[in-house]
Amino acid sequence: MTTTEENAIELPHSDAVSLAVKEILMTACGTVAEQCEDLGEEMFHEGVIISVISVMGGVEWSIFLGLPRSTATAMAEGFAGFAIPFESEDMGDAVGEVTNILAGNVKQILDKRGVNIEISLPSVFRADGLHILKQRNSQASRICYTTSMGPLWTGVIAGCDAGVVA
Amino acid sequence: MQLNAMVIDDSGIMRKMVMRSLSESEIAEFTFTEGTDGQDALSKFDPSVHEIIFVDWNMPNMNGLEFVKKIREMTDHHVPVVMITTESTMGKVEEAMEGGAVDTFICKPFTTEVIKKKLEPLFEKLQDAAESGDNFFGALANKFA
Repeated sequence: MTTTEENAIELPHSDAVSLAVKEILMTACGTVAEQCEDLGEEMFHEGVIISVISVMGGVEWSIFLGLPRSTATAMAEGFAGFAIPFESEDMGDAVGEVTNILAGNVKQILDKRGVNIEISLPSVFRADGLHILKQRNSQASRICYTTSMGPLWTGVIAGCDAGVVA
Repeated sequence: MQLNAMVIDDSGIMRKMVMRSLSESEIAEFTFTEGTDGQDALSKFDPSVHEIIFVDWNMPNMNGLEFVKKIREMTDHHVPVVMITTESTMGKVEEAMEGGAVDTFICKPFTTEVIKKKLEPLFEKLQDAAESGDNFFGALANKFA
């Protein structure tokens, strides 16, 4: 996954992820997501939780959802209806579920475009910081959002494996 | 009315959310058995105890539909199954409903109100079964008499 704009490549249908983010954050977490300029990796310095879902079929992607600690805490509470500590197992479950719902919505959007996909179960990672590396020949797009619960980031990567170093 | 429910999901937070919503719905007084996937739930399932099942579709080891097929072979009466799903598996769940394996479904994200509304038609069916003496649901229907 690239961290610089000159390397960002728009992937076919990756706009479906943006559409799904806006809908799902409203229905699942009760917050409005506004797309914004790249926020860099500073937002992850307080701690970060990343959830990844693999997409197979009409497009071959990995979809990422990245939440800084404060956003994750607020969003998990919005989703579950009760407070969830950042360090708990429940936090991983909550962020994984939001990603699962997000990917389900992406699938529905792509179905309507005649693109059939299957999605994996989510994998969730928690870290104290994050530096994202892009491997050669991979195509990637990263979109940052602001919400009333704090900033967040989504990404789509395709083409080859990406290395994520925390 | 007291109901023994199984709640099966590999996500602990989803199990908590389902149980919390069911308790808040006040549609019945639920006692819960939790399952962490289809395999775990199968080892805990007792057809003489569990009266209604809330099961996630997408789980490791044994998915929700595989679990439902197994329990259908274990019982001579119909245990109502509520499938919990995302939009990604809606089509498959609808097929499972048409085939009679699944009674209704709840799409994530859900609210207590949504769960209540989804259960009402099922509970009406149980009431009808109780009134007509239909044994499809076994002893469970007697609770709705």
